[in-house]
Amino acid sequence: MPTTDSHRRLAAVREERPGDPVAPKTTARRRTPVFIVASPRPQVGKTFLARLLTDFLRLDGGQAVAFDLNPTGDAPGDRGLAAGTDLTDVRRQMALFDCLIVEDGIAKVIDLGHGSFAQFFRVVEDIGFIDEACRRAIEPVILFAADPHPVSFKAFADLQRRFPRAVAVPVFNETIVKGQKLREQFRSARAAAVPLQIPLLLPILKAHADRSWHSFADFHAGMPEGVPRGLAVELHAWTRRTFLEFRELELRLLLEKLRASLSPGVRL
Amino acid sequence: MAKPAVIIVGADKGGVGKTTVARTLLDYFTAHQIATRAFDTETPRGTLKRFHPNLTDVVDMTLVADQMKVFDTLSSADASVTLIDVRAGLMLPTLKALRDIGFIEAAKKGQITFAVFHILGPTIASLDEIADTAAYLGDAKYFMVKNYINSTHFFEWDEATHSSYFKSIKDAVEVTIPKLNEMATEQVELASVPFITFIANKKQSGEPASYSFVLRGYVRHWLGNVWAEYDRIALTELIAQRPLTAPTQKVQAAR
Repeated sequence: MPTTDSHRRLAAVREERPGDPVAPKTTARRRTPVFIVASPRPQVGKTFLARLLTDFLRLDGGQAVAFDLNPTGDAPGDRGLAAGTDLTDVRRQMALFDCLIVEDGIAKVIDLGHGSFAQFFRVVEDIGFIDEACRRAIEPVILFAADPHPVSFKAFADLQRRFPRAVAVPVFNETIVKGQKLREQFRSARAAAVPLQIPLLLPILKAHADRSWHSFADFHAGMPEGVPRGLAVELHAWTRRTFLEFRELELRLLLEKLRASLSPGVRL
Repeated sequence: MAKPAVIIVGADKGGVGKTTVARTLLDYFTAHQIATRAFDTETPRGTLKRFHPNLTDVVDMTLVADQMKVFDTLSSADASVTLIDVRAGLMLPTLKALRDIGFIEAAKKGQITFAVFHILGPTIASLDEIADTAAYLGDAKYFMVKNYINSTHFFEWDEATHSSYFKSIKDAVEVTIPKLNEMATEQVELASVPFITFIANKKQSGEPASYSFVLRGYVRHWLGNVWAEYDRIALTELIAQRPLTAPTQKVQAAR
């Protein structure tokens, strides 16, 4: 945030973009969501969440690109940012962020490994990514894979403080939180930041989903061939419940944008 | 009306980032809508002129004709600030020349605002420059600039030694220029545009460019920190000072 007169003057130095003068309300343009799946903690289901979300976004011919920022490269990345992505290297930062800042209408999903958490958000802060994204028709959303550890509570609050223009949504994966009530520890004042609930996925189902070449979109659509009927039914039901959470998140984000674009005094 | 202000950016040693600091100052004044002109003493082809061609003239400060071009026009020029980027080795000769033409005296009488940005290198020789410079400063506002942009291993001086030199100049103020990452530095160099033009993703001609968003972000962040230093030393207030006595038409009148 600009703090001095000079900072305000510097903040006013912007790239002139086609459409800026004629379309000041970014809601009029096709929005490009950028989902950052993050947590400073390991083994909290970030990669699984990123995979689910990418499959959801690709439903019905939708387009989504996933970026793997895990040191082992086991996430569903498909943009050449695989194993051992080291964000201390400026060239790698350019490869990632110069792509994320393009308002092409294609959703982006970043699977941010816990080892890259601090460095990633440091770069985001230093280069002013969130502010520039919001100025363009890009919608940054942080999906925070919650777990009952104080480091996570602190990191979530810290992200909200540092990036007030980004929507930070806690994700309660029942496999991770195991019935614990964590809403108090992951509070948000924003209407769009209602926590997502990922229902419990039995280990046998998860193991099958991990091994299968089918996507969750396939399970969502029906009974994929070659999958035992019992497992397919369970996975179908689970995927529908989970994708409904994502759909509701999309609607909340849209509603927040609509509210912001309405004249003062008009209520939805 | 503010009195004319002259800012000298210099060092006796080369490669310490004088022109980089001069460029940040020109960007700062441009952003604050303070009319500024610049002189680049790196003849025949000045680096500062490459980045700020519309504001900069190249002069040879060892020539009286060029000294006249700079100092005889202080009051008549449209610009209220005159910035001189003094090339390596010319800092002391320039200050001597200023003393000889009565400029230092005019500054002492409050007719001109005079500030020196002394860019320091990492060696003890750089500290010796401070003592040499002190003799010519008069009432100039003196800024000792620690410029980290060219090296991460700068200023490993003994603190006590540093302090003793620092105290040798009354009212000296320290300014710190943080490091800008190498790739961003290199790309702005290649683009040959002012920092704020790079941030705005434009070429020198004003046409849209295609510089990396990441590098532009780094330059913006860095320039914000540099400008915060200029805000801290109240640079805009310094150059907005009014004359203490009726302004003279030319510096020579002060002789």
